[in-house]
Amino acid sequence: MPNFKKTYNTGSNEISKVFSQEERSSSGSDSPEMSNISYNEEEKTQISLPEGSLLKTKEIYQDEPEGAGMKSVASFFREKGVILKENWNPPAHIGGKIVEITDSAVIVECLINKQKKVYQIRKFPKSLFNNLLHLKKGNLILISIRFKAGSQRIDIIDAKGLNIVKQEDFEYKGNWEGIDDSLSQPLPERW
Amino acid sequence: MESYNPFFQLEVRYTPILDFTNFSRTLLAPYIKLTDRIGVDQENTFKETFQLISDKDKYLIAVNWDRIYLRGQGDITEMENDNSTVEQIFFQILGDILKYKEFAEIRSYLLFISTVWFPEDDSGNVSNISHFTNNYIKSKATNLLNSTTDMALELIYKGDQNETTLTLGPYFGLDDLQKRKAQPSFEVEDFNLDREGQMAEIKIFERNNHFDFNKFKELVKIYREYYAKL
Repeated sequence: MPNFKKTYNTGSNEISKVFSQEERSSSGSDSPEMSNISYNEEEKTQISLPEGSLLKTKEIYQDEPEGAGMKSVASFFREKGVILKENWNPPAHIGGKIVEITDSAVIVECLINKQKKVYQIRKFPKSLFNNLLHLKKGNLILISIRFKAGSQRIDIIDAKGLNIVKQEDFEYKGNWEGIDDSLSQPLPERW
Repeated sequence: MESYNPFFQLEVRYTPILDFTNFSRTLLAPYIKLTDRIGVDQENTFKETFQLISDKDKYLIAVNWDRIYLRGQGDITEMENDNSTVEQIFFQILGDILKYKEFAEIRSYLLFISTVWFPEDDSGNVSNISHFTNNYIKSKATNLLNSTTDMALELIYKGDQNETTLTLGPYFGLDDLQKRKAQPSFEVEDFNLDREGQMAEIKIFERNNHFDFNKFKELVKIYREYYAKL
């Protein structure tokens, strides 16, 4: 197999390495060519690989309840394309902070628009939160909402470790000057 | 007129991060809960690539030492919405990479969108070659061969800092799509792609050190403007 030398231009430094022919197909970071790496050799509709490429993807995780070593029901259905036929529209991922928990509901402050800083308080059935290990006031969550004709699906995900939802997004950084702890502010002399 | 994006890819390239493998697992670990599967290419090499795959939302995000890309299908304009996967997941991972102490700079980005659509002639029939030749090809070209079974038009603009490519042609159904590198990564159940129509592939590439969600929306707007002219 013929080899050739490829240089990665990293600005101030250059890194050189002798690559085999199989690696030639991947484009450099300045190339206008699109990356083309297959992610699953078993996928029916996989992206075709460039000629001579031996790039293969190893699947290291599947979201299945069953143990490894035996073909699970989940993998069977996925291969048969049954579960995939739900056809939800692309989801909206909304960050939220739990502000109150009642016997039947969880009240969440939702960050509807990050750029415009739009917040809304929304109430959800408590059963939606049964998957959370720790349901606690102040915890951050991610709400993924999907639609399709006639249906809506809401997934509640613990946002611990996810930088998508940050505690600081729910802290007011404005000016508190002139506002004291009391609920009743003195009225102006003339109003 | 019905249309569908069988494939789109948003890709951001940055200066290679030599110790990417040292922090990539920590970087991506929190996002595993949002995916159905994870893949890895070229494991334990400096070009190790991780792929976060969501079957139900039909997207793939791949990250390696010099680029991150999102590959999806359906309707690219859905990704412009606030709280979309592009804004909330793709740009968050990119933001985490930008904060890494050894990160240097973004070097370039591209948006590639493949579109098929199904125009009807006056009698209500969907046509492919005749529609294409009537609109884009002079009769001199169509008569060069005794008969023509396929044709395409490619327009390229190459500037110092940007490049745009538009490839246009008749679409012959799934067999036509399967010949291409840019084909759906996931099953398509909600749209009939196995019929004749028109197809375009539009690629917008720019060299720039800054890329954010607003810039992504600008690229999609450019795509929409090109598509409206077709």
